[in-house]
Amino acid sequence: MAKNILGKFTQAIVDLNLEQALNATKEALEAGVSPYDIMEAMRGASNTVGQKFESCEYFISELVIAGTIMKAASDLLKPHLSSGQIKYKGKVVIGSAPGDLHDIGKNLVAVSLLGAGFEVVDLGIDVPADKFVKAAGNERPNIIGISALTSTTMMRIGDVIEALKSAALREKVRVILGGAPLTKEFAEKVGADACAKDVIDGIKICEGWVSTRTG
Amino acid sequence: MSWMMKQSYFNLKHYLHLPIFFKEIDYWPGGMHYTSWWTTPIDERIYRRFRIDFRPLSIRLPRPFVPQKLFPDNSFIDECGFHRKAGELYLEFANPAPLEHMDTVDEILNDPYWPDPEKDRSVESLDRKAKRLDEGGYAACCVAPMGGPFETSWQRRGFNKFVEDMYFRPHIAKTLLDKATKLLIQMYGMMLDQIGDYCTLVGVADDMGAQTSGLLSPKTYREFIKPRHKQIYDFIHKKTAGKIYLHSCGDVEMYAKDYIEEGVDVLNPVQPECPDMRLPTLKEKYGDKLTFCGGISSQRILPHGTTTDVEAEVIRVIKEGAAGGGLIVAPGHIIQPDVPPWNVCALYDSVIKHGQYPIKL
Repeated sequence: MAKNILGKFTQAIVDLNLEQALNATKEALEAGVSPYDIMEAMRGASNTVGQKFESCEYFISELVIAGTIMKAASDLLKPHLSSGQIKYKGKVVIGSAPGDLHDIGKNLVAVSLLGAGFEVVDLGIDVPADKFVKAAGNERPNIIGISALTSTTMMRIGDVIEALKSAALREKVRVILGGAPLTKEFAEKVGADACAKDVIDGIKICEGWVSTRTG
Repeated sequence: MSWMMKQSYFNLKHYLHLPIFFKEIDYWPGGMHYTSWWTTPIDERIYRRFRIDFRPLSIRLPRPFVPQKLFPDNSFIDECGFHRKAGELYLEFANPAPLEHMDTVDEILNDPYWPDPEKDRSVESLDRKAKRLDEGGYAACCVAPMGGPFETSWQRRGFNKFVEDMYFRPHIAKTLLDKATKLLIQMYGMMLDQIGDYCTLVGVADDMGAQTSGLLSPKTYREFIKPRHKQIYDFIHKKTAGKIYLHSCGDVEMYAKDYIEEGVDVLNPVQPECPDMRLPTLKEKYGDKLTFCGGISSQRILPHGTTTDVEAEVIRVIKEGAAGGGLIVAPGHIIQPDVPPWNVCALYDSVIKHGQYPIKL
């Protein structure tokens, strides 16, 4: 029974059907399915959506919609989850580089990470280096994600990484970069650990890191 | 000539020992918008120095730009009804989008910040300028008066919200798109009634691509956007013999066939960093139908390369795209603030050096 409902829930997310996904969430909760199992099913759905993006069956619009549905389902689950019991894959602090006010891509990454099972702390746009440092200290994330859309603002990413080094926090986190002009070479040059070519690539890199950590 | 950001434009003028005129300076950092004259007042001597014969013409704001509404954080509603904020280098879209929290068609249509082209735009003396350019042997180019229906809709509604509209509230999405289409047709009508006889190119702009993928699935694109594009381009074709020049950023190869069916003649900016925008493939698949404008790496070579790298990039683009015509060498986007002036010179000097037919590369 639970398996059927969860199957329906997963399928509704993959099919981008908001109404069915929310109905299946309610149905599952009423049938006594553990909200943690529902979250786990959502991670599976998120993975399938990612695969469809990689195989060019889905595009940015579909990632946005899947994100909207997963966020709505998470909101339904929230009252049933006791904090501390949720098993996140890891914690990501994410924000746009200092001076960069773009957030469409960054928001998409944040919601997709959430769907994939990460705890996400979104610092917003134009995040100064010291705000990243403060969040790295207070939130104790596994990963820091920095986004930049322009070749000008990407040059400020180095400042963030230097600030993390000065605060002796760089060794405690992995740093991933994302945004159109960024390259692996640039990431290496400024001392980041990786550069994601798109949303799904970014999630895979983060998953790889946390599985290495726990495994 | 591509658009230039103010900073790189002023750097270039300084480098070429050209004076900066007061009319070139305005408050907002940006791609030359938000001036009362609207189109880029690039110094004629720069055009001549680089042997560029395209000249932009467009609808203008009739008065110096004043925000429609100013917020305490200095963000404002601009002349198209978008919520903007000046960052250090760019004029960005700010949150929340003006129509983000509206739930009904009536609320959206009655929003007071939609532009009223008859009142808020002017085409005064555009015909005289176009005639003068035409008689001088220049290619008069009608610049897009505003982004296309997709851009305008999401910039007024918020990107995620508008994408959600297309999936969950299609009547809202269609209302926004139809309103934007109507405004665009009205503005193109005002312009082309004046300059239609002189236009070589008519610019339209609707960014449909991200760096590695399209923004919309082909199905969604064809259902919501394509019919409106076609409606606008058909209207333009009725008004002028000029060719339709589409600016559509990012990885947009997946829409190329649709663009051709809609009546697009020139595709810009052909960003080489996008996986599906390789010039040889585009030429092979669509070269008989589309001219390509762009191709030079704006994200990597222009800001970070040497002048030798820039020349090599120009040679690559000419080798890949010049055979049989149908190529306008240009940056793969607006020349950004961090592009050094010597690279701008290297770009156009290399085009002059290597880009004359017959190509000898």
